[in-house]
Amino acid sequence: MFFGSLVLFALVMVALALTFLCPNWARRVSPAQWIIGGGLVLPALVLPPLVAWALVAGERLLPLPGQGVTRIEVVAEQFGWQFGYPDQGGATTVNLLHLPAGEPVDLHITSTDVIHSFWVPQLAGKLDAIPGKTNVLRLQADRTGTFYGQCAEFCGIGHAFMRFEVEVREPDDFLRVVDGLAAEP
Amino acid sequence: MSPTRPASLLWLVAGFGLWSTALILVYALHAVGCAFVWPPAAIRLGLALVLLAHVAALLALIHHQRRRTVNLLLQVALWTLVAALVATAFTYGPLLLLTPCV
Ligand SMILES: [Cu+2]
Repeated sequence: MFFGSLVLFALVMVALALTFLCPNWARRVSPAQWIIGGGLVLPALVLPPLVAWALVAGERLLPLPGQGVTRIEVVAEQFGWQFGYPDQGGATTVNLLHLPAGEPVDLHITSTDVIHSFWVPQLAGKLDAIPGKTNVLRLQADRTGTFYGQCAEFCGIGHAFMRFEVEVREPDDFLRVVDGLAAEP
Repeated sequence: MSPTRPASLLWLVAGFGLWSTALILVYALHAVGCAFVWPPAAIRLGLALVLLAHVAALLALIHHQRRRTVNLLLQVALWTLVAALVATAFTYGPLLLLTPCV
């Protein structure tokens, strides 16, 4: 994706440079050809495949019920996050989310007071945490590591500090850590 | 070049005005349908009818304007109608294939 955009950017810059450096070459292309080529043909070649890819990817990420995906409960409150792991003996963590790498999880997101928004920029888009309603976000962390999340909906005086950490481990390590938390007295 | 009546300016917004009403209706129908757990087939049918009505309206306007390109404004109006038709098909068409609700 990044390299594709680099290629397109380079293409446009080369065309722009040519209009300055070889005006005669640029004059051979009529204004209508510039408009149709750059404004219609180029986007028509680039954008529909991206849209199709995004639609297929989005369809595969839908949290459809009954697929045996690990469930994690996310409860936002002023000004912190609580994460529950009902599939792993009901352990909970505060401002620290454990995730397995390379497999999808369903985050069931809600709030106890006002509207917050769950956001881990490196893993997924934002999803609102709304009192009285549960929104489901399916996400998959492709590699292990530490990521950072932040409340993304202004929720009061402590909003800016409503951060949390995401620890992504290999699935075996994830189970060991979360099961260990549940076993603690 | 013939003089332009002020009302002709409305032709400039007609195409994407219709695109916007399609957006509002599709958005509302989809949200209400999913919230009330209507059957997916019924939601799809409703969306298809909304889109069909808008495509028909755009085609009718294009047909009406096809030969009325006496000045620049009306030429631009015709092309915005065509662009709105393409945009309507491109942005809303995939809705009919995707899973409507989860
Ligand atoms: Cu907040």
